[in-house]
Amino acid sequence: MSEDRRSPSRGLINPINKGHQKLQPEDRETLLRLLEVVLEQLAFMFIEEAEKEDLIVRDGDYIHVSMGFTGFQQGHIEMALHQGMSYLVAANILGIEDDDMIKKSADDAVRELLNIYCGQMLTTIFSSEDVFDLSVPEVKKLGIDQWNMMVDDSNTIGVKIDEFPLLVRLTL
Amino acid sequence: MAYNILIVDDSSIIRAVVIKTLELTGVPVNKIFEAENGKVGLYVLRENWIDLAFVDINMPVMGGLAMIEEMFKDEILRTVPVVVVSTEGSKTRINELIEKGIKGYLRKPFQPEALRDIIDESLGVQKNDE
Repeated sequence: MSEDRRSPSRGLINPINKGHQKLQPEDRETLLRLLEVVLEQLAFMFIEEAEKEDLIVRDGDYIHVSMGFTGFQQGHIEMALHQGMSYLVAANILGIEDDDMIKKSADDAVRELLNIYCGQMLTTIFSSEDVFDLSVPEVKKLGIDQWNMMVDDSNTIGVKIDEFPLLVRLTL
Repeated sequence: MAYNILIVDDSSIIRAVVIKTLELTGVPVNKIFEAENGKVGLYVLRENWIDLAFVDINMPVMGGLAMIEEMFKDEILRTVPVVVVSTEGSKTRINELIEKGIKGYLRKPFQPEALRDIIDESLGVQKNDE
């Protein structure tokens, strides 16, 4: 009998209830490693793992980028980061130092970062055989309370890059 | 021979990266055209001579799949070599696109050498021609 590649035994994701699935430790590790690879290849940035208490913030300007995916699994992936880090991402991808151009390109840079990360995540966590349709990533401002709520979510992984915190959350 | 190249991607940052990478590869370029979605891409293709089109998949207004479908329905546009540059990683979808007639596929993020190789393959450039 051929293996059912969609069976829970194959999957890395462990369903806990309808509409929301808890990430297993190996999924968290996969998301972390993919983040490391994508940030390094796309923006020449290197992540440091961070404890939850190091990710709680009291002030600052933060942005949130999210996109959905549909296929045999559907869900969405989000990334939250300090505004200053979005400038670093843009500057590094483009290899420029022009402040105006960097600020103008920052939202586009984080949209593309998430887009690439999502594509890599889908083929790594699920399967390179399955077809997914992706939505266009959307960027918005994120309040301090919303940031700290995201830090508290058990499906969020957090890292630091040049002292800037960055969060990623996968929801299925 | 210098080429006219079309880059269709909703991300201006990715279009800029492709342009910069093209410069690094040393591929002779006459003119680079940019489009932020498939609809604009088709318009550019109908109005200009294009030697090679880089097309993203996930774009607003008209995505790359719809654009490529339209190109392959057109007697003239179907002759333009298309390279899909996308985050898409599904082998099933990539194979479907290759069967439809795209010349190549490049997954983001990519290295300059990979872009150069795919241009050479798509345009039939011989290594010893350089």
